[in-house]
Amino acid sequence: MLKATNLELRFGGFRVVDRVSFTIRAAKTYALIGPNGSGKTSLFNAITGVYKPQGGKIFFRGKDITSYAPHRVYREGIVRTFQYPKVFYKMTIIDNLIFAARNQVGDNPVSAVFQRGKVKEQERNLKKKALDVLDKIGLTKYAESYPSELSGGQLKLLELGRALMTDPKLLMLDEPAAGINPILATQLFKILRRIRDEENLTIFLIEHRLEIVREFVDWVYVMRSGKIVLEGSPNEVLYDKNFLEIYTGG
Amino acid sequence: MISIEFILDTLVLTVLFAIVTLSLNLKYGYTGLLDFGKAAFFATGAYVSGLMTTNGYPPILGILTAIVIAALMGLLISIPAIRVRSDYLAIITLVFSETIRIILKNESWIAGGVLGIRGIPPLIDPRTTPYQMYLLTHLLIALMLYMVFFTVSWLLTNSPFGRILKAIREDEIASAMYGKNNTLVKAFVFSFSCAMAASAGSLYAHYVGFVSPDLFVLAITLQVWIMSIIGGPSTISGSFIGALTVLTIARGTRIIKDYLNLPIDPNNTMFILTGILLIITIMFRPTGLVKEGKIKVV
Repeated sequence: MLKATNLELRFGGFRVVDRVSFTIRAAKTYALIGPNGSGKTSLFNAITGVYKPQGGKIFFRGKDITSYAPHRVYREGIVRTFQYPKVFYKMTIIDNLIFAARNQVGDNPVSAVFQRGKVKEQERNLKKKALDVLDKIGLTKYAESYPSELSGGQLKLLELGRALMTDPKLLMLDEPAAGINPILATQLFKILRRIRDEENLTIFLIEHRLEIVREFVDWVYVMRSGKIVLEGSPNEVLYDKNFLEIYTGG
Repeated sequence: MISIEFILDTLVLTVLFAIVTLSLNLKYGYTGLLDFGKAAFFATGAYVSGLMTTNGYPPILGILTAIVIAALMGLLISIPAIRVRSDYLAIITLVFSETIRIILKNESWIAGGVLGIRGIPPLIDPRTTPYQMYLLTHLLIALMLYMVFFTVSWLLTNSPFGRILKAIREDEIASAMYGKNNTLVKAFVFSFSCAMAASAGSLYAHYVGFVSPDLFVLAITLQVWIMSIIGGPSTISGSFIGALTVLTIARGTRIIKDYLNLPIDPNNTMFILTGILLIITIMFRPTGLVKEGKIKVV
């Protein structure tokens, strides 16, 4: 589904992503793990168009999407969340969700003024959809509240919900459980698993702690110093003799 | 005694400034684009109208041309401007505004240089109508224009498009990641807001009858900023309230001098009062008099 070959991202002379190649197949869940500063988030940024890679190619469903701007990457069906939730604090939770939906008539300023009927009709449908998503992530009662009333874990859920609003073909999650306590993290993955199985999602996620996602993912890529140095099923990786060394940076 | 003419005159200016403030609210309050060049577009409107009508074209054509030219200018300046971060955008717009003013001042072949343009015809003939009617007509025309922009702005901000504006203000990367073309949206806001400011400038030129470069100094831009901040930048109705508050102070201090024997110049009283009000607003009600509301699409 997603295929990267020799992807390279440099900041100055420093290779943050160093000729990385990997493949994501449909309806599977992949984890990208590795120590701090190994280039995980940068790899995500290179895929989603936040940074332009200096080398290599990215193919999504057979199409070359290398160097696409973020909004074009979105159009192809890739959506991502952020390590530090980038939610819109001055908009209600439900507005945050509706914002993300695809093909909105009212995104066009001319239609927003002159095709009010159409905009309203679509808005009602999107509202239903947003309430559905809120139900899935368990934030229904916060629909009309502002994100500042949510806890850190709930903000992560909101980001997830916002991503789900886009009917993603590929869902990329940057540390969905970072900074929240282990119990809530387990809960979050429970919710994520249910949604994934219901909607047959393809997920690519970044996580520090392999033990948390061990049960959840099908395949693990391990990054270190900008390179993918190890890959395999979670158990293979976990019992690989080099794994500990990679992680402790020995 | 305060005359009815004085009140009408204040109201005309209030409505004209409300239009400019509304254009700033859309740009800064909703979209987060710092614009310190408002005076330039106000001036563009005034000058285009002035040049057209003194060369024999009807006022309505002058206003329309002013709107179109300002919209194109807004689009043009948006090309370099929207790629830079907010504070640099402020610098670019400020420089642009001052450049326009200085060129108009020094190149007298364009529009009379320092002398400006005189004899811009008013929208109705003042020789055949009583002065009060003349003021009232200008007030109504200005109000109509304001209502149009008010409605359009309300519809724009209370729509999915309005969500994009706020999203750009809060987090451009997140907005782009959710498929919004920030560059196009910002270009639209630039151009629409400049057209709005120019239309106010246009009416101003017809109302006052003459324009000169000194009418478009930075102080005008800053006054609009104060109106926006006091009224509530992320609101539509705040534009009128902000303009009314600031102009009431500006005009009121001129009347007060007849009743109170203050040891200071009435102009300075105005600066002091406006400054105090601005400080109080920022300290105790940073959102402005009108608070930012929820987006109402349905």
